[in-house]
This record gives sequence, structure tokens and C-alpha cells, in this order.
Amino acid sequence: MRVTNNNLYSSSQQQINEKREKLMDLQTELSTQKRINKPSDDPVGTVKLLDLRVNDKNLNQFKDTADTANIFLNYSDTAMAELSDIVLSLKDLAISQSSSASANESTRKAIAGELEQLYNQTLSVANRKFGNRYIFGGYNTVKPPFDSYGNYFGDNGSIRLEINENNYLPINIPGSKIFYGMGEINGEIKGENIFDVIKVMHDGLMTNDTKIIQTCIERLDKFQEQVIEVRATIGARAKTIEGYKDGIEKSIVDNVSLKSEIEDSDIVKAASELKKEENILSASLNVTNRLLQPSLMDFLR
Amino acid sequence: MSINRLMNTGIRSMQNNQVAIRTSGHNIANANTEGYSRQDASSVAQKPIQQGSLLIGDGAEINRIRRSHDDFLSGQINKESETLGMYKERSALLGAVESIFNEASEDAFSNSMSKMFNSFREVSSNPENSALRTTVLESVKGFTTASNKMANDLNKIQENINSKIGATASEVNSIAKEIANLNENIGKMEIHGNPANDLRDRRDLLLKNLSKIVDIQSAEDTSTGMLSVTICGSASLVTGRKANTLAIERASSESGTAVFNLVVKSASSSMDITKNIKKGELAGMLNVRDSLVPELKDKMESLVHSLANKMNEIHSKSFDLLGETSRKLFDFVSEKKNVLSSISLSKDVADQPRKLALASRPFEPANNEGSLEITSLQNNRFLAENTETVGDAFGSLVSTIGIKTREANSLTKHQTAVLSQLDTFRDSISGVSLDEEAIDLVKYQKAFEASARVIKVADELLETILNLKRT
Repeated sequence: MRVTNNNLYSSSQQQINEKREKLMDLQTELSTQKRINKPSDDPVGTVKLLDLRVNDKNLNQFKDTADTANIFLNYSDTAMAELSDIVLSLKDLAISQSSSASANESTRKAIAGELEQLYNQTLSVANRKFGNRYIFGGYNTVKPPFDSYGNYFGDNGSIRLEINENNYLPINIPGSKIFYGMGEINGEIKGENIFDVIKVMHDGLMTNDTKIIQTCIERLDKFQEQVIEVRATIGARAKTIEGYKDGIEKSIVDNVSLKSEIEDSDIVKAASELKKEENILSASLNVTNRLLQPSLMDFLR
Repeated sequence: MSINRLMNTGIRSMQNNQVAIRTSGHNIANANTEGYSRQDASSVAQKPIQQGSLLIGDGAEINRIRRSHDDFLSGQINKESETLGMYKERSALLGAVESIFNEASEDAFSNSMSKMFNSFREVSSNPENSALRTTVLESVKGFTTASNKMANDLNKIQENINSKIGATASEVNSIAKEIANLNENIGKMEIHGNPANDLRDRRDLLLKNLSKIVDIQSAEDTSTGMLSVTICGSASLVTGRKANTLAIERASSESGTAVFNLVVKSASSSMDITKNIKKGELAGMLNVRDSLVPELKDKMESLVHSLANKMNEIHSKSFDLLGETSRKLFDFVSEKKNVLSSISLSKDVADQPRKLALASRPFEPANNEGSLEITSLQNNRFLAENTETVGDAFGSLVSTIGIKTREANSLTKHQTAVLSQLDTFRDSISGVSLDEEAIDLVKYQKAFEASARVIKVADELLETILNLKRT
């Protein structure tokens, strides 16, 4: 085939350009440290990356939610522990003032005063706040759920949180359930109303009626069971969250390493490719130089 | 008398060799001219002279200057250039389109969408909190902004293509005019029967450049030497000395954006060829403008429209902190497929965090059921006849673009190699080799010197004859 100067020039240009293009791609890869810099670099990988990024955001959000839920549950549990203590104190007083030999009308009248304090403490637990939310009012978190007479103004709303994809957990227990013993579903009274019990006990003490005081003991026991049931529920929820949280944390780590596997460039490989291509380019340039130089014109005199 | 003949032979030979050297010089001068075909002077022996019973040769004459050119190969190159023009243009434009879908920043579409969902999750744990509500409004705004931007970017690409088309049409027109001009000149010059080599080279080059832009068919009328050119098989661009114009006409597309259509206009008629362009850069541009980008826009419209509708539904039936309901979360224009560009945070809710409706019943501050319903949309397969989530739909869009771009790039590479092979062939037929020309120069110069010698000898012979009388 007849070879003209243009043949040499254009084929040299093309080949050198191809090598430079390859070098440019490698340089981009090395400076971004990513194998995928645009969708066409790896369409399937790009889609996986999109998913992983969304997942990452979601998982971190779930983690935060789990933490918030935990704190709320802890707080509730602490309040229940306080309530338990109050009930124990009430029981002690009820026992001592109804059956002990040292009790009499005047001691009973004095204890009635202490009872008022215990009543107020119970009220303060019932109206406990977490931040600026009342935690025992159901959905009604903005106003105190109980008034000083022990009337309930909250509702039986169950606050659910999403602790994992489409997995919801209620974090609160309405005050009506705890302090009145009302079932959540149909509002029927199953248990004891602590405010009522304290009032009855107070009356009993003031009227020096030991029989009434004695009935309160049984009622206090029943109420204590209520409190224990509530604490069990809280404990179970906390355990559930713990389980999810472990899973979520593991998923977060897996996510990050999957992302890295797909997206990150193998630096060592890219760097050695770069060196290789640089060498090839320099050899090309050298040969081109030698090919283009000599021409018959140089030798004719 | 025969000495005169001899002298003439020598003189003519010197002239012939001069012409040959001039041709060689012309080749060398045009060694790097694009589209140049190597020329060489071909000489034939003159008719012999009868002298007695002898037929004596009478020298040579140059009968034509030949152009080394393969018409068939040129035709092939033009065909492949049409294809390459289309692939190359498509590849470049797809590169621009795919960069719109590069989720490089937090404000990009997919990122802003997942940010929005997670902000609803955050506010679900404390719906009474005004700061968290404000964050939700901001992230919803971020999502609408990202949607608007995407619509804008896609529109811009179409606008860019429009102006490119305008510039390209001008190029076509100037090429057509020049071809018509050359037709006239070639006709005039070839009256004497000799081919107008350089003009033909120029005309062939113009045809090649034209084929990069649009698919062409050409035919030469061998009696007049005029080339007629039609584009897209049906519209005549150049006939003889007349060139028609490729004009731009404004039209409006289905989605309301302005597009340029291409129309071939002559003195008496006009033909819209926009849908007939099959190859060349124009085909690449039109494919992206009229088919690829509208498809993408449609898919994005449908995605955002469905999601916004669902979220509006949920928000409208939910209650805000004031106990009010029936408010939308998003405002948008749904006619003429303008959701993507018009969607915004509803004015009823903007800057009024308390009016964000998150509860399923009024006056229950911690009620987050509405908010939870919204977050459940993220993994809900409500798109594509209940098979895809919003993430799936967007992902499949991005992967389609990535695949198409990759494909376009590899087609371009392959076609470039094909064309480069053909160019190599063309060069080996029509190209100038400086070494060859150098040798030719030597050849003709030696012949020139020898011809001069012939004249000298003829002159000496004449001297000798004249001197016969004296002695």
C-alpha cells in the first residue's frame, strides 16, 4: 500500500490522542479517588450507590430515633420507680396506722398530713415532663394531664416511632392506664385509681376508721402490680429497641464498606496503570519522532 | 526542415517537463491541503511524421493533468462520516445529560428526597417542636428546588441544542452556496474538455463536510459536470447553479418549550425535513432534543407528580397544631406536564411551621400519625403500577442514561476507527508523498536538462549545415 506523509501524521496523531485520553481518565480516577465519577462509568454500580446512600441516611435517622426512644423510656421508667417508692411508703403507713398498737387517733391525724405530701408527689410524677412535653398525657403533651383533684385531661393516644423501615414502636403509656388502671382499648376500669386510694386513706385517717385504712392496703398492692406491669412493658420496649439498634449499627457499617467497595478506586492499581500508560505514551512519542523526521528531501543535493 | 522539427521537439520537451515540474511543485505545496488529490501530468507521444517510408516520432505532448481520485471511496467515506457525525454528537450531548443526574451534592434530587423523608421521621418523635417543623419545611423546599432545577437543566439542554441547530443550518447554507458556485465555475472551465481538478477537490471536500452534518445524496451530471445534492432523500439542496436554503422555523413542543424545526426553502416551495433527518450531527441533535430528553422529562414528571399527589393527599387529611385541616403541602401546575418546573412548597404552609399538618386528629399535639404515613411512602411501591418505589424509579432512570451514554461512547469509538481506516485508504490513493515528489523533481529536472541539450545539438547541426557553404 502506498504510504503518504498524511498517513503517518494522522495515524500518529490518533494513536497519541488515544493514549492521552486514557491517561486523562486515570488522572481523574486518582484525583477523585473514585472509580465511578459519572453514571456511564458503571451504570449498575451507580444505581447501587444511589440505594446505599439513601439507606445510609435512613439508617442514621433510625439510629437517632432509637436513641430518642431509649431516653424517653428511661425517663418514664425512672418516674415509675419513684411511683413505686411512693406506694411502698403509703403501704407502710397504712399498715402501721391500721394494725400497730402504737397508732391512735392523734397519730392518724398527724399521718394524714404526711399523706397530703405523698399525694402531691404522686401528682408531680403524673405530670412529669421530658423537656417541655408531658409524658403521661397520651397525645396531649402540652398541658398537664392531671389537675389537683386527680382528674385526667389527657387522652389515650399511643405515640409511635418508626425505629426501622415500616417498624413502629409505641414509646409512651397514657396516664389513664397507669394512674387509673384503665385499659387502653375500651376505657374500662380494670385497676386502681391511686388518687382515689390516697383520698380514701386520708379520710380513713381523719375519721379514725381502721377498717377503711385496711381496705387501702389491698388496693395499694393491686396498684403496685399495675406499676410493675407498666415497668415490664417499658422494659420490653427498651429491649426491642436494643435489638433493632444493634442491627442498625451493624447495617451502617456494612453499608459504608459496600459503598466503598463499589465506589472507591483501587489506588494502587490505578497508580500502576498510570505509570504503565505514561511509559507507553513516552515510547509512542519517541517512535513518532523517529518516524516523522527523515524524508528524501534531506538527502537530495 | 527536419532540424526545425528537432528543435521543436526539444522546445516542446522542455515545456512539457516544466509543466511536470510545476505539477510536482503544486503537489508539494498542497501536501497538507485538506481534501487535495495528488495530480500528475500525463504525456503522450505525438503523432509520428511520415518521411518517405519511415514514420519518425515527433516528441511528446502533455494531454491531461490527472487527479488521483477514487469516487467510490469518497462516497463510502461520506456515508461513514454521516454515521460518525451522528454518534459523536449524540455522545457529546448524552455526556451533558448524564451530568445532570450525577448526585454530586446534597442538593441533588435523590439526596434531597431522602433528606425530606428523614426530616419527617425526625419530627415524628417530637411533632410539637417548632424547630423540627421548620426543618421539615426547609427540606421540603430543598426537594422542590431540586425538582425545579432538574426541569431547568433539561430545558437548557434543549435550548442549547436549538442554538446549535441554528448555527449548523447556517453552515449548511454556506456550504450549499459554495457548491453551487463551484458547479458554475467547473462547468465553465471544463468546456475545453479538461477536468478542473482543484475545483473538484474543493467540491468533494465540501460534500464530505456536509455529510458530517446531515445525510446527503449526490449525483453528477457528466455532461455539464454539475453536482446536484439532496438531503434526507427528499429535499433538493443544490441543483446546478442554484442553492436552496435550510431555514429554521420556531415551533412549540408538547411541553411548551420552543423548538427549532428545519425547513428546506426554495423560491417556490418549502419542505419540513425535521423528522426525515436520519444521519449526521443534526440527527444526533434532534434525537436527543426530541426523543431522549422528552422521555426523561416525562419519567421525572410522572415520578414527582405521583409522589407530590400522595403527600398532598395525606397532608390534606391531617391536622396541624391549630386544629385545621384540608391544606396541601405542595403547589404545582399539572397541565402541560409542568409539575417538575412548577412544584413548590405550598404558600399555605411556607414559613408557618405550625400549619404543617402531621396529626390524624385535631388538638393532639404529639399525634404524629400523618407524619408516619408520609415517611412510609419512601418504601411504598406505588409507582409503575405498584411495582416501584420512588428510589427504584429514579435509579432505573439513572441507569438507563448511564447505559445509553456508555453505548454512544463505544459506538463513536468504533465508528471513528472505521472512518480512520477509510481515510488511510484514501490517503494512499490521493495523498502526496514528499519522497515521491522529490524523486519526480529529480526525474523531470534531468529530462529538462536533457531537452535543453537536444536544442543545443539541433543548433549545432544547423551551424554545421550553414558552414557547409563557406568552406
